[in-house]
Amino acid sequence: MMQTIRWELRQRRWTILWWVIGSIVMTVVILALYPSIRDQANQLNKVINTLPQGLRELKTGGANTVDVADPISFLNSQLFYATLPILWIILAITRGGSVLGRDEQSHTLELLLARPISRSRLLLAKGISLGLEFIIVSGVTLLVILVMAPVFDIHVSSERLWLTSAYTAAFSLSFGLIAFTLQAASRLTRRSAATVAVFVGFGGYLIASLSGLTNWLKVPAKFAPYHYFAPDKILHGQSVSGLNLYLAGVLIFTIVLSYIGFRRRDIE
Amino acid sequence: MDTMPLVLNKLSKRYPGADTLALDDVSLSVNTGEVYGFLGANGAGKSTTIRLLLNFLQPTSGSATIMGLDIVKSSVDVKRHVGYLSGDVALYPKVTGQELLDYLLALQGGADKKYLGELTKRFEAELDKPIGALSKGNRQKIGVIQALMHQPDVLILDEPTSGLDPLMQEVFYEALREAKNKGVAVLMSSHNLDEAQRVCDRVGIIKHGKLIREQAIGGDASLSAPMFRVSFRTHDALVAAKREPALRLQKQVDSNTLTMQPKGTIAEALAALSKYDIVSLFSEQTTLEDEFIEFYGGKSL
Repeated sequence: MMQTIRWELRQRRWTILWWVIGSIVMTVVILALYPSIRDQANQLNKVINTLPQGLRELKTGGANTVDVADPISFLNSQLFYATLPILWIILAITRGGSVLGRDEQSHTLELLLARPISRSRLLLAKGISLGLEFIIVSGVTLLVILVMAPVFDIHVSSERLWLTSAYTAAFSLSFGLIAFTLQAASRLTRRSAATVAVFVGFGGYLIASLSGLTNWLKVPAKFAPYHYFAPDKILHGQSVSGLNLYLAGVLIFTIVLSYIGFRRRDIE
Repeated sequence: MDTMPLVLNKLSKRYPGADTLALDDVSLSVNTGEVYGFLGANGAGKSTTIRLLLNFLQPTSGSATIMGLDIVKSSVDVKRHVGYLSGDVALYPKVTGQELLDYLLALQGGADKKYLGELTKRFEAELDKPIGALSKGNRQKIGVIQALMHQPDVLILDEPTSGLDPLMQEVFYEALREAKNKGVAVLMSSHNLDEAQRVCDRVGIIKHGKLIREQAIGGDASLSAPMFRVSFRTHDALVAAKREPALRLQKQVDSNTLTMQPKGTIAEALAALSKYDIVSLFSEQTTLEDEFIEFYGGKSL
């Protein structure tokens, strides 16, 4: 199993590096905007808070008003609610769908399964390598946030920053796990699996964010994972039981379904 | 426990949504030190059989064992004994051959690196270049090496010489002979009937998922019997000769010419033919291709 994990990470080393660089650059640019935004907070708050609620919530989640001078409000609206998760969801879904799917599509999976390695161990190794790849990208980004936030006068406790980053990473990874499971357990191609995960992820984001605009979206929004994603609450030290429940549910669902499905299905 | 290294017992496979069976009650066995050729047109069921044996596909019914181990229940253990080469060998294009072989060897649980070195030398494989930069033939060499490198008890090979140049084909045949002499059981699909006739001890012909014929090569069966190509003076003579009980009609070439095989001894066949006015008579060896074409109703590979 360790060989497969090492192999996967080695194969992906340059791509991981580019994702790390991308995440760092985006994070630093956003953090660097804080001092100038804070200085013009009055005007910016006026502009943002006069936006229609739905449009405002696309950036801020459930927050009713925004004060960009407040570091927590700034981090929530500019970094943790949309920018980082969207970037990481793209990584998670593309990797989740292809970590097994690419091998199956190119028939290199046969090369591996012709060895004395069980399907469940291979699945576990692939799942772990997906998780590790994600930990590397999000971990380095977290370190950059921890180091750079004080440099740009953003003073939030390290513990809360760590927790918010971890939740953001776990939330983003959940869509990758959905793509991974759909591909592993069924006969869906990696593209189809990724499409379903995109629909759940980004479709859910739109539904959850726009549910403030129309009443009829309020019920479907409750089924959207994004509805439970509230980085502002984590940054404020509040509990996020809905998010915990969603993450635990996805983890159990993906482990059970991918294990049962991949063990006995035909390899394409 | 089965003592045969490879046994298929009424193995069947129906793909989801398909009306017909891709593999229909196929039973065969391959003995220690035997090379079994698996012949059939495209879509006949050769690759399905091979993929079932490797547990890439789940059987609809029936069973199979490799070294006495059930291919489904003990698929991991089975693979300790098997060397496999897929039809269209797929390798990782960005890594070098050496990196890939090291990885596969580690997954196999380790093996004699010295033997890997020998194989590399024999096949003149280029292991220091990225696989994507290699020609099809050079990629096939790596495919062949990865199947042989752990010295398995059973080799399952799908079109193993596809893409190899004639020189490398000879090297492969030599390696196959060595494996056979060591007692390795080989199941090998091939489109190349000359190759099958040359390296196989036995062949099975598969059509529409059914094993329709098994044939020993070089035994006393029909492949070693001669084929007579007979031209008669008149068409009436040809018609009468067709009914001769000592002869089996193979093919009518034109209105006065037939190809026939003796049903019994050659002497009996010649005695039967001597009754007719014959313009010419040639004897030629029956080839696997003749057999194959007979079973496939004139459709060649």
